[in-house]
Amino acid sequence: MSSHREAPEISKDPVADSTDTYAFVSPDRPGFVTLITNYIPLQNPAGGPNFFEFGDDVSYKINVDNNGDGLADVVYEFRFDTTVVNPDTFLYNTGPITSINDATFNRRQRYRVTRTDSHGTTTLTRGASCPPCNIGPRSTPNYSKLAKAAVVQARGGRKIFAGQRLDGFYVDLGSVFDLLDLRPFQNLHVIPTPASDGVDGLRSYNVHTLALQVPISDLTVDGSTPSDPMSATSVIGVWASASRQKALVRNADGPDTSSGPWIQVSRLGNPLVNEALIPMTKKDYWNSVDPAADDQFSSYVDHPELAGLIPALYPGVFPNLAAYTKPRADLDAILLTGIPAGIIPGFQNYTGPTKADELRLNVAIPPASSPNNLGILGGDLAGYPNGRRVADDVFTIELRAIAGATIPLVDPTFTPDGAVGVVTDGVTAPSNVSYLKSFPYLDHPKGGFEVVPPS
Amino acid sequence: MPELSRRVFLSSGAGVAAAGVAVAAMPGLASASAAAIAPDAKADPAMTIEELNAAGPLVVHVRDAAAGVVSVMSGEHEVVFTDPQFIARIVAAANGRTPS
Repeated sequence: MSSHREAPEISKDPVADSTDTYAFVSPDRPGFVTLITNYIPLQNPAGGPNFFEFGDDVSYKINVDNNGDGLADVVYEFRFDTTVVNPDTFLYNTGPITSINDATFNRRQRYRVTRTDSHGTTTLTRGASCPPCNIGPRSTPNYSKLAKAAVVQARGGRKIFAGQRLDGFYVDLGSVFDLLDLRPFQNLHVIPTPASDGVDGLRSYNVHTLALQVPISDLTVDGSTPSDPMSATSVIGVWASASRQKALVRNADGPDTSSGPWIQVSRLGNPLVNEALIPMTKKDYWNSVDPAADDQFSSYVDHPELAGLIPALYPGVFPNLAAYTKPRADLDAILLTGIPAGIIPGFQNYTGPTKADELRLNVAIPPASSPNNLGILGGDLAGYPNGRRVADDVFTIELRAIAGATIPLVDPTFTPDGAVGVVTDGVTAPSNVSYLKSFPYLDHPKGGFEVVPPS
Repeated sequence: MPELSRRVFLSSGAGVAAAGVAVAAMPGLASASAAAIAPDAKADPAMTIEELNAAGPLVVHVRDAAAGVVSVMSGEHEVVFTDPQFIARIVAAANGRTPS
């Protein structure tokens, strides 16, 4: 969910499976944008003895389009290298890990990050260390110290982090995948049961995070730090991608051979697009193409399957949505082109007519002093779908949008159904996540020792 | 399908081969530049052992033997070329016959 295990093939390749992408003007450093993308979904913190790690054979990228053509103009690439200190033990750690360079940290990952634009490629960091996974009080006794030491302070105030984090996304996975049940409203479901509270299906699961904090001027088309939200130069489009080399030969007598060009196997801009809008047989293909090629998928946005399912599964609750047959220009704008000027006072994140699934961020909108996790739907222009912050309730936002909340923005003749303003999965805030106030914002991962599996 | 031995591959005169939709990899094939593997080319007799070793592991992929199209993957690159005679030798090897 969001994009955890969203396509049949990539769900079998979790190391390359992106789960969420975030882009926001940093609340504690307004001159900097934070870009985050997560991989390896649904990590049970106790999943040892071979704990979770990035793929040495995966090229991870955070892509930025700053001229509206659906192609990357700035690319940050992360590449990893795993080493084992003591090859003669099965242990992940041979004692308490008290620093990220501790000799007891037996299996460790280092990485480099490069930035590529039209002028060439520069290395932002090399040999940077990932923190260990959070195992427990004996193995990783001061986890926050380890994580803090893993934040790279790069040139020009840039910050970089790669490693395990607590998943910041929250949703009632167990109900929504059970024929779109929403527990607070399940008494109205076509297969009814008594209404109940929502359950955070991602509670206590970890992910692996790639995070950057860079000056706004690193990302804009003209290298400026825009202050006018209505200027086209203020908008960037962001998505993450992961690629593997085209050929893999498994050698029985030695290391495998990876060869050939990099083939994209995972992509993620807006949450839930591939997961909830693209049909199953096209999901992995969708993952393989650039946003510039998304026009071919626009019919699934203009006529979303979910907009038909919601009235069918909740009979009589969404009559206006059921009767609406026009193409969904509201979703087209939110997800594929950005919201043009003139629709929301003082705001736009339009990137032009090219239909491309990108997380569009207007960098001239300052961080909110009192963020509303419903973002623009809640009157907070600094939240989703203006970029995405770690705490934004993107499931509720997109559920309400698909249910018709945003149609009046482009079609004043439509009146949303009464339920639209309150419909929710019942998980409107994470159940045990306390986000960090500074980079990398996502909380420290849960430790294997401390997490009790659900009964 | 008979097992494809290293000797069978090397005796093909072109180094590494793959048949049908199979993929094979081994070190020692000539550089994967278009010039080095032009249609009708034999292994370049002027190529030194150092040059051959420098090529690193290569993967040859024949997705559609009837079309005669071969792709060679080396490092982060792929070269695609057409060579029906080369593919005929690969198919012969895949069928357990000594390539001519």
